[in-house]
Amino acid sequence: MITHHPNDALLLDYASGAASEPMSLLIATHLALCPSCRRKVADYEAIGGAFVSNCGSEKISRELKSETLASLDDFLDVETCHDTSIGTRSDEPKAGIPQPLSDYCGEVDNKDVWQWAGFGIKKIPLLEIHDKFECYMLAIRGGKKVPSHDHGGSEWTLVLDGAFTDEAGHFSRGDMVEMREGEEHQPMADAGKDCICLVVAEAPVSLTGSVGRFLNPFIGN
Amino acid sequence: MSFEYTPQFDTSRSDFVELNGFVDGMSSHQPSVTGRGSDDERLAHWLSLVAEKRDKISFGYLFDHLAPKIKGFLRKNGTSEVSLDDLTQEVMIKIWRYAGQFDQKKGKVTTWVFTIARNARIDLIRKENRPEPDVNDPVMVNDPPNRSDDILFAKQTSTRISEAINELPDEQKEILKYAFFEEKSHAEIAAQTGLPLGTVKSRIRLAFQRLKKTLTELDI
Repeated sequence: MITHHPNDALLLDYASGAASEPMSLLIATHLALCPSCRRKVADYEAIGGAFVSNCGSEKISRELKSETLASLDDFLDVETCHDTSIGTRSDEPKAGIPQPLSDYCGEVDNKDVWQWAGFGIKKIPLLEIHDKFECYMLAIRGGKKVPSHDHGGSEWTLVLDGAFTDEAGHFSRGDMVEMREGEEHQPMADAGKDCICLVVAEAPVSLTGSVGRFLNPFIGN
Repeated sequence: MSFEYTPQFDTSRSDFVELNGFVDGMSSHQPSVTGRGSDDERLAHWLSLVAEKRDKISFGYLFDHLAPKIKGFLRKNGTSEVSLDDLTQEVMIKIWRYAGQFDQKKGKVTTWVFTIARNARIDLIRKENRPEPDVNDPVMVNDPPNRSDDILFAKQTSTRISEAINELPDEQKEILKYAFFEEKSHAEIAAQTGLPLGTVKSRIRLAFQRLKKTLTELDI
């Protein structure tokens, strides 16, 4: 049961198209696990539809219309999208990394995709070309604590497997937590199972405390 | 739902010039083809003929009705003059190609068109991907059986949703306009307006709650 959802502002960013690719990846992965946020995004898209239908009309040249009509024959077959999962998808939630994230991170059961980051932490960097956000998968060994760290910008963590507890509560599959600039936390993975998360951070994370400062190069980049 | 809808509130009170354009666009709204039923129903009818019969005449109606709005929407989103016609054409061709994917139960034609225009801009202008959940992913969690408020927005006409937007306080309307007309994220809106991030977030939340309330009352 998901109890921590992205806020309305993040869902609106995703629906309007303003969200960057890393943020869209984060929200879309949450949406795969959360029907109620999918519903909200659809509602925001309906608001977008109302904005389109109320746009002042622009003049369209006759050439543009005739050119468009002339190119229709290139696409005579209508493309459909069958939901082949109907009947195969059970109401029992299924474990695993959902699409679209699995396209980005590869096979997480394969040890080779993970980079060792020290102190029971492994990571897979994602979307490294992006300049405004850092985006990575994080695996915290069951029972381990991530060194206390604060945040140079906002940081969002989506739990995909296992669970962790920090000052703000307990987070398990599908839960998303937002840490604001200057906020500090020390997540600890539940014992018995690695906690796998998707993390998007606005600016490099800075670790506090003596161990934290030592870990900084591992977590940050 | 008539086409001669006139906004019920005093637009002169708004100090938000662009927003008056939003309202003006609505009051001067004219159908390209007359007939019975709402705008939404007509668009859905033409689109179904395009999907099932590859009917070019219906596509022509869709073009006349939608292309001017799509172009207007893309211009507001900051699409450069040189790309405007190309992108409008791209969106119209996608409507032709993917007409079979439109599902009337999930929402209005204009909502579907909005998502196509949004994705085309991200793809062709920003050259980024926009990750989406995949309905065929076995890991995806199923929708619960429909609750009444689940389909609140989907079953409203675009006109009703527009009316509800127009009834929002200006400060909330302004945020939605930044989001949908200028494709600004809530953080960018805060930076541009100088409003604290928390204020922008709460206005978004309040706007959504208020729209839901208005549409629920309309529904009774």
